[in-house]
Formats: sequence, structure tokens, C-alpha cells
Amino acid sequence: MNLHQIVRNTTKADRILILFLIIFCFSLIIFFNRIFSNKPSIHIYSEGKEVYILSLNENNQVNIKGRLGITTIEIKDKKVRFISSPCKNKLCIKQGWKDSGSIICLPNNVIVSIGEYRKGGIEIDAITK
Amino acid sequence: MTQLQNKYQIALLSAFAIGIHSIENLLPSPIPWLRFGFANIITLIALYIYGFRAAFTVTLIRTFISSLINGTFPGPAYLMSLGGGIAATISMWLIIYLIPHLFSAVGISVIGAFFHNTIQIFIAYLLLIQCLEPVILVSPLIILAGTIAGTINGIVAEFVIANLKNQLKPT
Repeated sequence: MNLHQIVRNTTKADRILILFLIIFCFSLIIFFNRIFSNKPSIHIYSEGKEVYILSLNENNQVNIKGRLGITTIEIKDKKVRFISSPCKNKLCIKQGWKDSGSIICLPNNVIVSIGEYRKGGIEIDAITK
Repeated sequence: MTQLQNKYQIALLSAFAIGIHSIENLLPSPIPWLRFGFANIITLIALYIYGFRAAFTVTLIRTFISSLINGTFPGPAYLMSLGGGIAATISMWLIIYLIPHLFSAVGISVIGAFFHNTIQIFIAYLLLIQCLEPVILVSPLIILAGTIAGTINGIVAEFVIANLKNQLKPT
């Protein structure tokens, strides 16, 4: 009895079952990935408080009141930039368009963060051994 | 006499299963609990050659003693192993008993692996995770891996069963 014989001995039901399970799992994986995929969002913090949560997919222009004055940011084509800021160096504006990470304006105390930003650092929800 | 011989066979098969299970635990794996489940080959062989009672006993002995060896006895890992093993044995027996010639050992092994994984995910959900989203995300991956492992196990089991039946025939 060799491998070839064993493969030939498998019944039709066997092959259908295996094929079905593999296709079923692959389609579930793709399906769930599409459902649960995190939509990129923009979190805007002013003076330590979260003031806006916006979608990266919608073009938008937002005014944020900071410590010194009003900062204007623009969201376009899944990218973010600072348009105007009352701060002195304008470093935040010089950073230009960003599609990941964050742009921080320290003098005005405005943080624009793309994706998840959590105050308490990284959260652990389970450890298994 | 047959009773005694049966006990001897069960002990032998259990020893094989425990050995395989323990060695398998030493193999590195990307995710804990993602193993080939080669011990299921022994359950399948016991089921085909000695029947349901022997296979069930072998599964119980195997899960109990290998959890003692691995130091996971009363914990969730033991319950997962036990539940998965029982589910696999019962499901495989039911399929063999109800529709005897529809599946070969390969198909039976895949069915066993599927129920083993499903019950394990369920027990893990109840005892450890209790959060639906990661369970749903990871379960198709686990079942896919289980199907592949089950196919390989089934091929090995078919091989062993064919050889054992040839040996047992003269006696």
C-alpha cells in the first residue's frame, strides 16, 4: 500500500468534503477580513482631550481651538495636513501631507493622529500561554 | 481472554498516543495549541480496528496522562484537549456507524479534526477569551489548518490501518 493507492482509495465524498472545507474557510477568512478591517480614522486631540474622530476617507476641513488660537486642518485623498496654525515655527504645517502616524503642534497643543491613539498606551486584552 | 487482550491493546494504543502527543508538544509552533494532532491517528486506528469503546477509552487516557505530563492537568488547556478529543471521537464514530462506506479514513479524520477544532474554539471562548470578534476572526484559520492536518493524519491512518489489517488477518 503506497501513497498513490491511498489517494486513489479516497471516496468522492472525501474529496468533496475537503474541497468544501478549504473553500469555505478561505471565503470566511476573506469575508471576515472585509467586515472587521479597521477603517482608518483620524483622532484629533486638543489640550489633552479628544475633540474629533473623523474618517480618513471623507474630504474635510476642520477648525480646532487650541491653547493659542484656531488651527485648521484639511483631510483630502486619505491624507491630512495642517493648513494654518497660530504657532510660531509652523513646524506642523511644514510636515505637509501625512497618511500615517501623527502630526503634533506643541505650542497650540493640538495632536492629529491617524489610526489608533490610546492615552493609556498599548492595551492588552488577553495573554495566553 | 478477549477482554484481557482488549485491555492490552488499549494500553498499547494509549501509550502510543501519549508518546506522540508529548513529542508533538515539544515541537515549536507559531501559535500555542496549533498542532498537527497526530494523536488523532491513534484514535482513528482504535476506532477502525477495535471499535468505539476502545477509541473512547484511549482518548480519555491519552488526554488525562499527557496533561499530567505537560503539567496542564486541571486547567483550561486540559479541558480543551478533553472536550476536543471526546468530540472528535464521537463525531468520527457516528459517521462510521451511520454512513459506513461514504467516507474513507481520510474523510473521517477531516471530520474529526473539524469537530475537535470547533469544540476547542467553543471551550476557549467560554473559559479564556469571552470576546466574540477575535474568535470569529481566528476560527476559519484554525479550521483550515485543521482540515489540512486532518487530511495528512487521515492518509497516515489509512496507511497504518491497511498494514495492521493485513497483519491481523492470519490470526
